[in-house]
Amino acid sequence: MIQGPQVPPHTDMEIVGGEAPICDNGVCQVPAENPEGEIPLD
Amino acid sequence: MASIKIDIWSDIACPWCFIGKRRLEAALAQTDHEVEIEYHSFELAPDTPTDFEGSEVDFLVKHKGMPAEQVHQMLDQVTQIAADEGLKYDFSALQHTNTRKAHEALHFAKSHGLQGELKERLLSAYFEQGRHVGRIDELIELGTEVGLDTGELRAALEDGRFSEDVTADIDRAREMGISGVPFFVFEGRVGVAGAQPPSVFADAIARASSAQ
Repeated sequence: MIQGPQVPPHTDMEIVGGEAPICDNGVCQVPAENPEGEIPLD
Repeated sequence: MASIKIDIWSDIACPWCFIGKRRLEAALAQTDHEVEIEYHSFELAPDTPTDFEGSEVDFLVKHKGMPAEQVHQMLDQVTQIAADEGLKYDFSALQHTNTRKAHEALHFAKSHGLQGELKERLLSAYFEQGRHVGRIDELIELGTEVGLDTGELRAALEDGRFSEDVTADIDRAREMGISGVPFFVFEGRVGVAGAQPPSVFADAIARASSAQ
């Protein structure tokens, strides 16, 4: 699955953009068409 | 037109960071804005050993418990997306490693005005060329290629003088609530999470510019 924008870093920061691939806590996501969803890459 | 500051948190061992870098560059190629880019350290897997015996597939199967077939499918998919951005990922050659020293090298490079050059070199070395970016000797070779002083870089990596800067970047990310990379901050007030398409980066640049 694709991770959407993360929790805004701080309240006065404007977050732009929709869902996009990202690496989070040692886990890298691949696009939504992957049926397995979340996949660790590191 | 005022320059726009772009702070980027990323790791070397982050396939989306290299892809996101290319997408940001595509957006920048379409704008007249001057930008100043600063990379900040982020360790996705700080417990990774410097040396891992085995392939990328071995690592994911043995350490993450993933089925080999699923690993191959996933790596093929990421490789294709990277190829769409002109990148030639080679997971069969990739050497898993801890990226802490690479981040120290990037801070050293920043102090010499060559951070962007070394960032590009390290990402390519890791994903496209199967280079080992966890070993000091290899980092020195790569750093020398972009114009860093061999002796000074070796001394900096061996005594770890930039380790606190790496930690400070990671702490700053935590304070800002950044949990994933790549993460882009434009002028300190517009954030972009992940390897977004160039149009999103262009939007962020426009928003950051209009707020100046």
